[in-house]
Amino acid sequence: MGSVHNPVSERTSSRNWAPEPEKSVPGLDFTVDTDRMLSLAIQISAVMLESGAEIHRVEDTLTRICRAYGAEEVQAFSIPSLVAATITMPDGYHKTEIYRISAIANRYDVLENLNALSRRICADPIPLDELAEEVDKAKTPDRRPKWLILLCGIVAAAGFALFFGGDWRDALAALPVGALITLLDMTKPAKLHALAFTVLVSVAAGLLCILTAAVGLACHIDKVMIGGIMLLIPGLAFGTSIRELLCGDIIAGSLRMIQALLTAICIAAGFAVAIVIGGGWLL
Amino acid sequence: MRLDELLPILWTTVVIAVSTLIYAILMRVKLRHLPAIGIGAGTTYLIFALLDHFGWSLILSNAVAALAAAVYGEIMARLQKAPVSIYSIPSIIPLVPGGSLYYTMAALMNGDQAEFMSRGSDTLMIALGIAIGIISVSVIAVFLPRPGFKRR
Repeated sequence: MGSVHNPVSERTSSRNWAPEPEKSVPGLDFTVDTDRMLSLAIQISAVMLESGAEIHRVEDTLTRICRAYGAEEVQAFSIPSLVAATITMPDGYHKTEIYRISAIANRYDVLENLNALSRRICADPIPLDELAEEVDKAKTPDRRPKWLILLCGIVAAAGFALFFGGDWRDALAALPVGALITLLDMTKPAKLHALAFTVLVSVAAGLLCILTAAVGLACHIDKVMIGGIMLLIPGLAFGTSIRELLCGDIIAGSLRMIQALLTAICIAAGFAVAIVIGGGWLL
Repeated sequence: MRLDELLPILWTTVVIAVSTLIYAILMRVKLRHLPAIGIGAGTTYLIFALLDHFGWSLILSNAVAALAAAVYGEIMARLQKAPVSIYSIPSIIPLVPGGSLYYTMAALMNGDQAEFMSRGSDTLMIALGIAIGIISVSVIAVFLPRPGFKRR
């Protein structure tokens, strides 16, 4: 034993492989801990993905940051539930890291912060300690008071009910529906399955719509329900998935599209259940 | 086009522009982008409504409106140095087939086969139209350089 032919170890040893990740990179006046740099780069791109970025942008950002910090070769790969990258430094040192994404929510302020940060450090890399601080700062969402979010959900539901042809009484009836959906969304337990949650919210919202019609507030229950549906519908994910499919990210795009279609089906199913429970006689 | 035909369209445009703007706050868009999003959503809906009024098919009018939204997104993103999605995605909200999705579901619940087919195909046509609009712009935009990045 012991003299087993191992092509991998031959290759690494012949390239003068250095085990320690600390490198000095030409053009930068500080040394770079390659492992930490990869972690931070993956963290930036993964949080962008979690905040609603397209796959193309995620992989592009990851590649650019690693290049800026001296990586010779970057293999970046991402789908909506994963970000992975292998970097190779000029001296042959290489490292792989993956990051699992559990949930995607639209937080465009975070996306914009990280986008601006990645542009800045690609043009002019900063030491990693500073970068870590900047990442933490960029990851923090802008402060939005809870009542403002709630108010926006309420008014948006009424606006959509009005837009789809409801009158002012339907818009009025959509107010509590918007409040219910936004409140449930704000208090969503992290462990709950996203699709199951969508069904539950849809059932609750549908029942409330029927209630508003039953007490005589809404004249067109369909408009009130549409107002609620528009808050839940994954129009954004659908749009993103189409962009991804056509940009060549076939796997990512189809995963996201299936997710969007499933969500749409769950919304329809939820409201259908509400109609069955709440009495089909109203329609 | 007579004024009494135009006024309801303009009223709906204002309603959807404001609704989209408020919806954008829910998506945590930075406040400085909100005026541009309202204008984008309003324009998108106005284009759709006018084409629809002049008898264009559902798929074509949605495609042209979505194309306008996507072009607007690309231009604004380059002017403001912000991600494209911040502008293009909210601008498409007025086209999202929430209404026809609901009527498809309602027809299914009522067991109305004919209505289900016609509403269902409407929903698909709208989705397809939006897709065509976005696609035509994205395919070109991917090959344009991203602003603000230095080539290394």
